[in-house]
Amino acid sequence: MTMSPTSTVEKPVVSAVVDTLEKLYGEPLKQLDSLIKATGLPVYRDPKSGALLWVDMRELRLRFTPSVNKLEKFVEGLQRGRLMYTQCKRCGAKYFPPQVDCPRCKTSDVEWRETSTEGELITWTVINVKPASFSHHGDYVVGIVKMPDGFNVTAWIDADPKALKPGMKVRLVVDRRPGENYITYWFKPA
Amino acid sequence: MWIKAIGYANGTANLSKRPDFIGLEAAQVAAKMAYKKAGIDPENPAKYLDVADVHDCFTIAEIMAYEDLGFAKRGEGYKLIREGQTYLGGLIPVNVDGGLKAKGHPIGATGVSMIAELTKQLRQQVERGRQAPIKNGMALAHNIGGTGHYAFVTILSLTA
Repeated sequence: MTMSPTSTVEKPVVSAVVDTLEKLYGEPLKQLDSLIKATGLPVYRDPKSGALLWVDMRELRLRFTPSVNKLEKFVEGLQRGRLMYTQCKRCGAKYFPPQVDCPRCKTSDVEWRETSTEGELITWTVINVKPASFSHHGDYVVGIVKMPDGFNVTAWIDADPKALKPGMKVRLVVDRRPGENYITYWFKPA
Repeated sequence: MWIKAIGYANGTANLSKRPDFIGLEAAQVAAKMAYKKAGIDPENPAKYLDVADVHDCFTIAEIMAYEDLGFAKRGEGYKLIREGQTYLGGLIPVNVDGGLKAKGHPIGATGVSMIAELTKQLRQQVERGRQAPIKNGMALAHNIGGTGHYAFVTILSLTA
């Protein structure tokens, strides 16, 4: 596996994802039109179970926009090519992904620090079945990397899975990922 | 049929925050809790139990369960299968109903089916060829949820 995008992703990722969803849900909807024309009802029999199903005309669309307001330093860090974590000033607990509230001592006074750039690969898996939002990628590797800072980082591993070994050194990359073209972080063999 | 003990624990859902991937901390804590309540020696639980149903949602999960429950030492769970110790007539018959991978795993119903199976086992009401020898009158159900971060260990007993 490499991070090079497949041919479908010459276009921006948002429209690529919309295309995928359209193919998934739009095509059956076209069949629904002809069904209504032919039978007079938006009703069909499920080919698998034989159950009679009514297709609602209402369509729900949902896109999450979670607040990252308290994580501005993390966002800025990515823009500078750095990966940031937090450390509680009172108890010293380290958090990655970073968080500004410490559940251990229940304070919200943290220091922002930069992660190391090299870690040790503990474990990994190859993702063959992707969510719609990653369907423009080929199979990719997700691994867990032990950082010398004292925490683990879950991220994509840009490497041929056959070349991976537990305990091998991997190097952090903070860059624009081909496909989405936004800045994120992953690892590659050191 | 009596519920002698229920041990339950949560762990972290975030895999990167786990100390290792060779066991489930929640299951280890739940087992200890259940053993304490039921008066079972955590060093040798198999001595107290006649039969167990464990959450083998994957092949490796059953071996991890043996070790989390203390049926075997860490890294030695596979030996129980090789030696036939988790088969009928062995040290502790496990998943003689086929387990999740053979019987099926309809999530919530899986835990209920474990209790139903163990109840039948203890009452010696299962069909021929699957009945575990009942000597102590106690059985164990090990049920896991999420990414292994919810665990319930239930001890059933013929006597209160």
